[in-house]
Order: sequence, then structure tokens, then C-alpha cells
Amino acid sequence: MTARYLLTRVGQALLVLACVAVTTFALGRVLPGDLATAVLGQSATPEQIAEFHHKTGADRPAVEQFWSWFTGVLHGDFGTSALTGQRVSDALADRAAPSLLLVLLAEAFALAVAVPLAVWAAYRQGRAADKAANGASFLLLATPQFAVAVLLIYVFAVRLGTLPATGYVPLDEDPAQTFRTLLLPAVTLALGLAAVYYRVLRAGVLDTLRQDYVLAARAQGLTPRQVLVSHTLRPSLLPLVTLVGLNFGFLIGGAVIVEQLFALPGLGTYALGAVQTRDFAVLQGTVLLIAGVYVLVNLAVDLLYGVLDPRIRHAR
Amino acid sequence: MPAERRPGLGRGAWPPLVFLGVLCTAALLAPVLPLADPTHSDTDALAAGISAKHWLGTDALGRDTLSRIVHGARVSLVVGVGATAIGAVAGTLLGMAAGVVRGWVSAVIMRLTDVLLAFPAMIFALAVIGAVGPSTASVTVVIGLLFIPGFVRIVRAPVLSLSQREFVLACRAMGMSTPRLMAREILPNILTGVLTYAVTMFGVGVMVEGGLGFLGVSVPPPEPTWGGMIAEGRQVLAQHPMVTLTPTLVLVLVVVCANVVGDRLSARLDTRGAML
Amino acid sequence: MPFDVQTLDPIAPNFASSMDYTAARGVMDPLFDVDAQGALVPQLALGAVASDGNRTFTVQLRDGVKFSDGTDFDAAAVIAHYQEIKDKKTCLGCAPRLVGLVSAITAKDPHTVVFALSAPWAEFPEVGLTGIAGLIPSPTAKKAAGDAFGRNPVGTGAFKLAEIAPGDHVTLVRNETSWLADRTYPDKVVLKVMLDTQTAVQSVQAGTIDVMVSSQPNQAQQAKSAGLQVQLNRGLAPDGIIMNLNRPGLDDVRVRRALSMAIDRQAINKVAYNGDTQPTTAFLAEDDPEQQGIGVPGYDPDKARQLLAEYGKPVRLELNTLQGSNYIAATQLIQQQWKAVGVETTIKVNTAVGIMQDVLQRNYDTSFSPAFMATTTVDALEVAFSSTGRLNLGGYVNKQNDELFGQLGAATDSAAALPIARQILTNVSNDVPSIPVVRKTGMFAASAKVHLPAPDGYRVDAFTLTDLWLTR
Repeated sequence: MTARYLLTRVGQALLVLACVAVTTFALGRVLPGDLATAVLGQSATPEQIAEFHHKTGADRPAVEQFWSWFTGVLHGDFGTSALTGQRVSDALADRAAPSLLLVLLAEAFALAVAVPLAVWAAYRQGRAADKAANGASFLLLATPQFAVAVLLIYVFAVRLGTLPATGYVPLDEDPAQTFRTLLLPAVTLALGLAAVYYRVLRAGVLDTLRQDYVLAARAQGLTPRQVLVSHTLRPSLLPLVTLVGLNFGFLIGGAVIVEQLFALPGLGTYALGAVQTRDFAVLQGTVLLIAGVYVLVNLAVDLLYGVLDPRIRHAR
Repeated sequence: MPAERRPGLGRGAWPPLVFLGVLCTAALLAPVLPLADPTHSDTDALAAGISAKHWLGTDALGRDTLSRIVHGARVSLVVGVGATAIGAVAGTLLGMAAGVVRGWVSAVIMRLTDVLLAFPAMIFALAVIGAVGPSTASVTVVIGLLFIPGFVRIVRAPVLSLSQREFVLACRAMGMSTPRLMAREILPNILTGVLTYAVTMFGVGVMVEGGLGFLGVSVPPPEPTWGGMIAEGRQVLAQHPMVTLTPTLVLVLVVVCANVVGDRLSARLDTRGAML
Repeated sequence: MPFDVQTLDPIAPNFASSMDYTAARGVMDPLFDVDAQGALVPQLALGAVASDGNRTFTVQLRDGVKFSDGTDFDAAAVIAHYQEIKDKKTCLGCAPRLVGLVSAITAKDPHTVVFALSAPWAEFPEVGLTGIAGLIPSPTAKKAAGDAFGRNPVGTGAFKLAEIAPGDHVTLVRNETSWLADRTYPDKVVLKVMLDTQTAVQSVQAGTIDVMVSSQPNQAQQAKSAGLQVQLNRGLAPDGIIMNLNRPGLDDVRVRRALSMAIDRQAINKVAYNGDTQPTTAFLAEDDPEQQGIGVPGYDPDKARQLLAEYGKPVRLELNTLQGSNYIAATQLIQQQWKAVGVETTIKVNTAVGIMQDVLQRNYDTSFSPAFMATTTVDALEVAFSSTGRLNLGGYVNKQNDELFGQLGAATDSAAALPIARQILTNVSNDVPSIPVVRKTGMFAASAKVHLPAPDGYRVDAFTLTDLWLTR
């Protein structure tokens, strides 16, 4: 049963990735504009453009192009950027690092703030602390990322000068600097995430607090703290795990605005540039990688969930 | 817990509803209201502060901020409402279908939503808008498409459990057709949940439009959009922060209001659920 | 840097931006530089002597210079370079006449090159031996790298390429074997792409970058108020609107004149550029002897309405502009000003690639974007204003101009060329195939400890990296 469940889920994940690959490819073909004009310049003759198309394979039938790209990917070859001549897999390797670090940091910050606050607020439900935290979460939920980013840059980088807005360096060059430059963008993302996590967890904890077994534990004379930690928190964390997984995948390529404002060389801006220049090999590779991370993380979450709570297996 | 158990929306929900109502009315009536032309530059009042002539000041090109906010609301609200409607209608239908009709229908729908979810949303939006050109319609449809998976998931879970309930099984036994069953028995039971989620997603839609406007791929200028106003205002952020702050505050306020209303709605529905 | 470095190969067809030039200029040296007065400044060449009525030029090269791959800089390298320009015909930044007129390039001795031209060309050294065409690559490295030379450039310059991370940065390090090594101050230069100019200003303020470069002056006020030193580089050429003369309305010269007259350039400079550029109706610098007193019709909305009334049909246009750029503010003002005289315009915001595509396929009405032909000599305007010019993007035809450009090329000296050039500019200003609006103005901003270099004579947003240093 478990092996079969696992196989089904992996099969579904692969199917989803294949669909994403086809969609990206099709989307690329309907975008107006031609990379050839960017590479060959304004003085390009029709013959030069035709030769360029031939060299990059753009003159072959779409199905054939897709197939050769797809089989390449299966062999680990994502192709070459027609614009820069760089191997897409090399670029992705460079660009995945800041994106991953950014999301990991943001998730860590968000959880570190949201989990204790949610439990505390649920415990003090209706009191001033709960109301204040609720209000703050509403405000954060409603503030767009770009506004938070602009504000943080203005305060911390420009006015106070305590943290840099830009200047990312790879981890192996200067880890301290990497961390410093990722702080502001990670906080930008974390504030929005924390608000979501806070609300979900608080609702979950409130729900659990009403359950009979919690009331029983209280009646047995356990202190509120013991009840909260040992009886309430763990069951309430389950929906949070799903959410963390969803957001992880979502942010890995979705932090386009944050990457741009903080000049981070991540996957989001890489894909954005590819959309703008019609660099299809780059666009397809990046989207597939992002979707792959998303699918993988959520597969892991699902499996984890299945292990934590065996009832789930049947419901899916 | 009395605050969350009171029937009706509760007093707290009224100020946001009134604010949203006033804004919607103003946006609807914008062409006939005595507002300045939102695209006209007053070259004598660049990035000006609040004055009798310009109630909320002007932007860097000397255009009246109040008028631009009201006209920008037309884009933001149309996108917010339109995208939510697309997501809600399509998502509800698909979600119900996936919950009631098991087997390959359900499998196809769920895999499709997985594909949409796995696709990086912002890149998807940028690519589609790049392909069809930026306009209120294309922005609305793209955001609406991105909203569908959420609604499918919100709808499918309760439908799954509903379809095992006695009254549904009874209807089936009496030979009720699937579409009829969905419309008559299932839909009324999930509608309130969809509505609550929709109110929240309206706020998200307004924010996403703002983000696209910020990246310069929403409705093209000179048509004012909130995101576009915030982005253009950044040019003079240090000297004239209000140019960017005013539209930001309005955007935040609208989304807060939507969330508060959504929250009240769900609190009220919880009570109903408990009585069932 | 506001955009990415595409290639460091000067004669590659996509070598176009100032960022390409700044990076390539660090790695390679030109034969000559041009100073602010337009005079030649020896670099890799020591001097150029004309003979045979400006048909032959003998160029003396600097001795003892080595490329960073260890090979010698000599006549063979110069010949290989110019031969490639002639053969490939892809160099965007090279004067077309360089391909057409240069008939033979020979070496008199290892450090003397003789250029033989098929017709007289007095300005050959100023046009052909400087700027993009003048940058000499190592022929050995070029042969080895082929098309990949743009990512593996080798030259005699003060810097060597250390790393290219496309879309993010280009790192150059000091070239210790360069003939300029004792005059080069920075050990390492990182050219970092920051698409968002606002982020760039803030990064200078926060100290994470030393200098920001922009091809438009819009951030100057903000940088100044942040206490940065700001240098505005007013170019010799304008920024403006190109028009597709095949579109209804735009095929009528009255409409084109009316569009020019409707534009209040003073207001655009004040509102969209904070007064940091200069309104202009000229295709070259206003005080250029070839241009003086000539210009497209200036602001006169009443006359514009009158011309449009004479034309009689309503004019509806699309105005293209570059996404997320500093052109957008001015574009919105132009739209308003055209509306004020009765021309309805919709704005289409497009990416750089999209604009180029639209323009090349003549799929546009008007475009206020970097597609505008900007140059500093009438000579170079030929590509835009002769009927077969490869940058004639609007289908503009004036038979007299075609003849005049031919005569201009054959003119033996500048005195003979002047009246011809003035006639061309007069014709063009009457026909209004495109509309100059403001002077191209770029800016550098840096903290006080940075010594800002003068802009390169070539571009408003390019500079020579050796001139840049920090005081500690």
C-alpha cells in the first residue's frame, strides 16, 4: 500500500512536470518578438536572421524542437542561451543558490516569529496581546512586497546605513557578506509569510484547544504551558507544514520584484530577463527547475504528512 | 469567544464595508465627479503637497493624486473583482466536478491545478501579458487563471465529505443527475466558504495588480493604476515621499478592509457550521 | 549599470550598448581617442599621416605593446582587425564607409600600417581609427575563440576579463602586463547590472557600489539630495521620436511638422527631466557649424492645429516606449501635448527586444525610445536619412539627400563638405522624418571619495575605466 502510494505520487509529480514543460514551450512560441534581432542587431539581413534561426534550431518544426530539448533535459542538458552563449545548466546552478538561500532564510524568520506568537495569541485569546498581534497580521497581509521592500531599503540601507540593500556575493566568497545582503530581502518576504503562518496556526491552536483531549489534559492538572506544547502545538502544526511547503515552492521563482529591488542574481530575475529577450532555452530551463523544486518540496511534504497522519493517504 | 460567535458580521465589519463602498461608488462615478483630469500635468505644481486645488497633492508630473487614485481604483477594483470572479466560478465548478465525479475527471482536474500551481505565477503572468499585450482585460484574466487552483482546493475538500453524507447519497439513490445534484444539493452548502475565500482573494488580486503595475506590465500609461503610481513615485521618494506613500496607503487600506470583511464572514460562518 | 553587457567583441552585431563599450574599452585600446574638441589623442597609434589627396593614410603604431595573451601588438593585428570589419560587415558601431571605401590595408613595416581608400575621405582617422572600430583585439585569441570571442576577449587594455555572469555582473581585473599598467589605479572593477535605477542610487548611498551610470538624468535630483556627487554628461546628439512614414497621417509632411510643433520641449525638460537636459530641435549639437540655425519646427501649438486642419483627417497614433524606463514620463507628456492639438495617441510599453522587433518590421507608428538615431556628424546620419540606409527605420525617401550624401562622401575637405552637410540638415528638418526632443544626457553618481572620470567622447554613459579611482 505504501509503496503503491509512493509510486502514484511520484508518477503524478513527473506528469505535472511534463505538462509544465509543454506549457512553457507553447507559451514561448506565442510570445511576439525574436531573439535574433537582439543578437544580430538592427542591421541584420534576412539571410543572417535565417542562418541564426538555423543555428539555434528555431527553424525546425515545433514538435521536433520540443523533443530535442526535452530529451536533452532528460540527459541533464538544458541547452545553451542563444543570447549569451552560456550553458543554461551552469547559469541555473549559479542562480539557484541565492534564490534557495533567500527562501530558506525567509521561511526560517517567518516561522521563528509566527509560531511562538500564534501559540501565545491563541492562549491569550481576546486579550490585548492577541488583538495587537491580529491587527499587525492584517496589516502585514495587506502590504504588498514592493512597498515593504522600498520601506526597508529606505530605513535600513539609506537612512540608518546598518544593512546593505544590494551587493550579494556567493556563499563561498564571503559567507558573512552573503548573509548580510540577504537579510533585508529575506525579512521583506518573511513579514508577509509570518502573517499567513500566524493566522493559520492561531486558528489551528484555537481549534485544538477546544478538543476534548486537551480539556481532559487540563482537567488532569497539567499547566497551561505543558498543555500548549505537548498536546496542542503538534496537531496544529500539520496544516502549517503544507503551507510552508507550498510557499517554499512558490517563492523560489516568485520573488521577482524582491530580487529586482535588491539586485539579487536569482532565478526570478533570470526568468524575467528570458521572457523579455525571448531567450527560450533559458525560460524553459528556469521554469522547469522552479516547477521541479515546487513539485519536489510538495511531494516531500505530502509524504511527510502521510507518515505523520496515516489517515491522509486515503483521502488523497 | 463572544466576539467571534456573534451572529451578523459584527460592528467591526462596518467601517471597512463603508470604505470599500465609498471607493467603489467613487470609482464608478469617476467620469462625472468634479475631479481633475487624471492625465493632465499641472506644470506649476510638480510633486506638490496637499492644497485646495489638489486635495491629495500631485505626482512628479504634476497630475492630481486624488483623481489618479479614484481613476486607478477603476483598474484595481475591476481587476480584483474580475479576477476573483473568474477564479471563483471556474474554480468552484471544477472543484465540485472533481469532488463529485471521481475517477479520471477528478484526476485530470487535480493534475491541471497542480500544473498551474507548479508554474511560477509571476513568470506565467509576465509571459502571458507579454504575448497578448497589457490591458485591463488581459491582466484580469491572467490573475483570474492563477486564482483557479486555490478555489478548486477550497471547494473540493468539503465536496468530498459532503458526497458521503446521507442526504446526498439519498438524492443519488433517487436518480438525481450529477449536474442537478451539484447545483441543488452541493453548491448551497459550499457557497459560503467560497464567498469567504473570494473576499480574501479580492485583496490578493488588488495586490498582484499593484505588483504588475510596479513592474510596468499592467495597464499601460497614462491610465493610472495604483501599482504604476507607486512605481513612478519612487523616482522622487527621497524628496517627496507622499507621491508614493499616498497610493500605497490606499492600496493597503483596501486590502485590509477586504481581509477584515473576509475574517468576519468566516467567523460568522463557523457559527453556522457548528449548528448544522 | 542599467543593463547587461551583451558582448565584448566590438564588431559583433549585438555590440550596441554603452555597457558593452565601457567593458570592451577596459580590455582593449583604440588606435586613437578623440578629445572634447574632436582632436585625435594617440593611444595604440602614435600618428596618422594623409597623402594622395586624402586617399592614403599611413598610421604609425606604438612599439613594445603586448596583448594580455602574450602576443605582440603589431601591424598584422591592425590589418586582421580591419579586414574582419570589411569581410563580416556586421559592425554596428563602424561607419559604413569603412567597409565601402577602404580598399587595401598593408603593412609597411611591423609598426606601420597603410590604409588605401578608393575615394578621398578627409575624416578617416577621426571616424575610422577611433571609437568602436578602433578597438584592436588580439588576432590570435580571436581566431582561437571564434564567435565566442565576445565572452573571451583579449586586448592590450589596462584590464583583463575575469568573469562574466550574464545578467548580473562582469568582473575585470588589472592587467599587469599592459602598457598602461603604471597608470591604472583600480585593481578590480565589477560592472554590476542593476535594472532598477532607484536601487542603484540607493546602493551608492549605502556604499555597496562606488559609481552608478545611467543613460538618462532622471535620478540626478535624488542623488544630489542624498549628498552624492553627480556628474551630468550632456551628449552632442539628441533623443527623440522616430516615425513610420508609411502610416496614414505620418505620410503627410504637414502632420509630421504639426507633431513636432505640438511638443513643448521646455516643459518636457522641466517636468520629466527636472531641467537636467536641454530642449532641442536639432539632429546634431546646436552649435555645430553644420547644424547652426537649422532645426525641425519648434513649439507652436496654434500652427500645429492649423496644419492638422489643412490635412483634414483625424490622426490616431500609437506611441511606443521602453518598459520600466525613464522614457515613460516624457512619453506621457508628449501624449498630452499631442492630444492638446487634436492627435489621439495610445502608448504601447514594450521591452527593448519588442521595440527593436516592431521597428525592424515597420510594425509601429511612432517610437520614443533608444531606437532614435543619435550621432554627432552628418556623415553618420546617412544610415538613417538616405533612402537605402540600414537604420532608415521609417521609409523616408528624399532623392536630393541621396545625391547630397554621395557628394558629401566625395568632398575633399571640411570647407567643401560644410554647405553640403547644411543642405542635408535643412532638407531633413523640413521633411521631419523623425523629431529631436531633448539632448541625450547621461549621468554618473558616486560618493565623495570617488574620482569621477570624464565621459568618453563617444557616449554620454560610457567612460574609460583607467580614469576611475577612489581616494582613501
